[in-house]
Amino acid sequence: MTKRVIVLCCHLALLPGCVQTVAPWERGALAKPQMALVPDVQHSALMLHTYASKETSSAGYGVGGGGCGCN
Amino acid sequence: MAATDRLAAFTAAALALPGMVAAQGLDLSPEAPAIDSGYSNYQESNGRMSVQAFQNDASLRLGEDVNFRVNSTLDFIGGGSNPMNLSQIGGASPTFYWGRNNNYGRKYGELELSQATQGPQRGRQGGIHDQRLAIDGALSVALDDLTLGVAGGNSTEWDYISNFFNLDARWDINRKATTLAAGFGYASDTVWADGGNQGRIHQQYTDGTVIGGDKNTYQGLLGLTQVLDKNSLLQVNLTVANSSGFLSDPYKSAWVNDVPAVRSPSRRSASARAAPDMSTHSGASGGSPEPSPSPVPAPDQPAEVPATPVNTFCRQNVPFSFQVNLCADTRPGSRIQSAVLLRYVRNIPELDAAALHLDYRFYSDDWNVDSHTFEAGWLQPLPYETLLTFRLRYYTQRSAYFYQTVYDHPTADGLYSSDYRLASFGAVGGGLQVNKTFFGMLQIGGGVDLYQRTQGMGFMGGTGSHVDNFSFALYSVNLNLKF
Amino acid sequence: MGSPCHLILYAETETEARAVAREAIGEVQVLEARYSRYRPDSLLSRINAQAGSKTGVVVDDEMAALLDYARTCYEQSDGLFDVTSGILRRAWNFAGDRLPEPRDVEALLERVGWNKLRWERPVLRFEVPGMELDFGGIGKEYAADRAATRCLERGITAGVVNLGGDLRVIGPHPDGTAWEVGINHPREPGKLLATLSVRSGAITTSGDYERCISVDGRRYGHILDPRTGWPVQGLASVSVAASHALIAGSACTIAMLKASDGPEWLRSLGLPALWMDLDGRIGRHEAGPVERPETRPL
Repeated sequence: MTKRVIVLCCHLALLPGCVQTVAPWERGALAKPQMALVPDVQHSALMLHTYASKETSSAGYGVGGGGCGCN
Repeated sequence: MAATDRLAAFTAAALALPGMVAAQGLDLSPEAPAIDSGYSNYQESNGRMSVQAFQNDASLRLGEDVNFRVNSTLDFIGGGSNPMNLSQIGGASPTFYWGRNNNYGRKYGELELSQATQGPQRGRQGGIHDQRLAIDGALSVALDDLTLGVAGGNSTEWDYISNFFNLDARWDINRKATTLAAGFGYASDTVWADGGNQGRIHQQYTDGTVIGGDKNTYQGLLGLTQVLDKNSLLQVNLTVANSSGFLSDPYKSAWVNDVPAVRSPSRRSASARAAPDMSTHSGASGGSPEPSPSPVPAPDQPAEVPATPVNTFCRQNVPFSFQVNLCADTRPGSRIQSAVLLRYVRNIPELDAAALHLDYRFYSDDWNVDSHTFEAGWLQPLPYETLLTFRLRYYTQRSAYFYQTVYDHPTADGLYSSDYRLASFGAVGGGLQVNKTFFGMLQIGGGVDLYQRTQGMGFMGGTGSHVDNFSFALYSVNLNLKF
Repeated sequence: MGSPCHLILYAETETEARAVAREAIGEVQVLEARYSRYRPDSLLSRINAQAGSKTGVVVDDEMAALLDYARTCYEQSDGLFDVTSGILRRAWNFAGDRLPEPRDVEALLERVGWNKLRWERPVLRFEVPGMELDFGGIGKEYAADRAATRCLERGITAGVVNLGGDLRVIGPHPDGTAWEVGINHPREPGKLLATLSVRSGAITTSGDYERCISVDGRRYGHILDPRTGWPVQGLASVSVAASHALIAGSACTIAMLKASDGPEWLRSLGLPALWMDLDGRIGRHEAGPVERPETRPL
């Protein structure tokens, strides 16, 4: 696991070098609501809570408490 | 089609001026004052569980650069009539599926199927047997390219209390083409087994100690969001969480064969002296007793289960102490979880600005659980301000190293769990949602999400059981008001 | 602003409409106070006074973006659109009926030329004493866009901003129908050259008829060639539709400056345009290969 994460970090460091510059005024498409990383925050929260109570993986989507007593 | 170079030059120079477009740049968290309300109804297969959830969120602006958001969720967890299928007990794979507050029958083989025997609505056919109220607030302050946030909240159930707070920072660099994020979270949880009276009565182990305990979790997050081109962006999140304390399921038990049970009052006391005092062990949550050597059953002992069996090699929940083969769910006292999340979003201008979302998460913890999650979403804008959303999801995990569907022998480390959530399995899910906006400010939507867990669909290895297969349907309606 | 201005907008209540209108008008007034060449206390006047010094003057982000835009206009017009040429108006009095003395114009030309200033963000320095910036052809149009943006940000989706003929649409009428925009005929007052339907974006018009003097039967318009200091001759009127009034406005002015080459330049730009030359011929460039405001000539 540790190795894999390190490899990924190296890729991340290279990432900004290979993306083209997009000026603020060219980001109209990115500002559309359907382009949000989480388009429906409330529904996403509901699904994450549901999955976390049925599957044992619960991480990656952010920091925050309020899990469930289902351990 | 591309603009002419000449026009592109004018447009670029014009839009570099302040105030030329209403929504400029990439705003990762649009925080217009809004109210979001949702109702959802969760139904699990075979009536195992049903939940009704009411979500009410509001965000408001406290000045130019300060936003406040408050989220609330009220869940009513109801029961189906049949939390446990008769076919699931006995036989080759006697795994156990007690939900909350199940009152197991007093005699082996005779099942008392009612749930909520001590809830406000007693009865066999459902009724409420838990409710959850979660409230959290988040305050964020934007200081030029830096956004700082602080959040805190509480989640309370009849058998669970969580208090948590988070700090997060976002830093926009590269003319907002890149956003770096860092977060820290702390949660202090307490869990116990609801013994009735809306959780005021706590269930106990047979040694008299209360089932449950405290759990502390520290979480850290590093994130990077990068605009790839004018139609796509990518997010990478790394999270690490360290939990310690009571990490077991307070309701569940595991079936252990070849137990060194004592079956007469005289031998019971002798064996009890030989067994370690489980309540003094704090290394593992719920204790990690050394197993006693398994005695070979005497051939002259009766085959039927005695009326008052006593278990001396593992900790037992009082409601399950009638059967010596049942050991309380006992897991390690700490867990380190890490995950990498990749999110990719692409705009498809040719299809009316439809958006493709692809998410992948790799998760790994020191319980030897690894999992992969693949999610895809398609958001299709339609005429009349309608948005159609399709979602697909595949998930698979490997079982925890101490997980067994049934234990052949008592374990050396004293860890027992047959919790289906720690098993090896795969799951597919899909959903459909329709939203329509009225007057540019009111959005009404509804949808359904389906989920099917299947033992054979995983590819991560480990053990699991097909009797854990289940499905759920989650129906939701939502109403959003933006000001 | 020295010319008639209108703000038309639809809102739920009159109170809301008035509140938003106040803000939008305030936006225009702030910009006028900053960039007016007529006010000695304006930001522009202060910068003109300081940019001639050896060290030049450091300008703010907005002024810097305007200067970048001005440089784009200069480059894209092959030097014809020049924000330093406003000083030539000292020789030209369009309210009178007399032509200036050629040597007065010659003298002023020494202080005209984008290539005579050093613009290295954020420092602006004039290399010739007495030079002046003049944001005519940019400032009013920018103000129209800013007013529209402010309305949009306040949730107004239907309305139009008209600053002295530079028209920026906030959004179509609430029922979705377009605004009908009449283009004045440059030679026959009171008659329309065309009527355009505009649902979004901007339409601006530049002509030789609005401020001009006629001497010996010849018309001298207010658009001056920075190379000669004399009014350009070639087009009577140009209208351009664009996403923003700023872009449309500078395109009109450049097309006028390009005179007989104006129509060709407009084609190379790719925006919808309508023009009439001095012989009364009407030309039209319909669709450019670009996403453009919806226009439907009637």
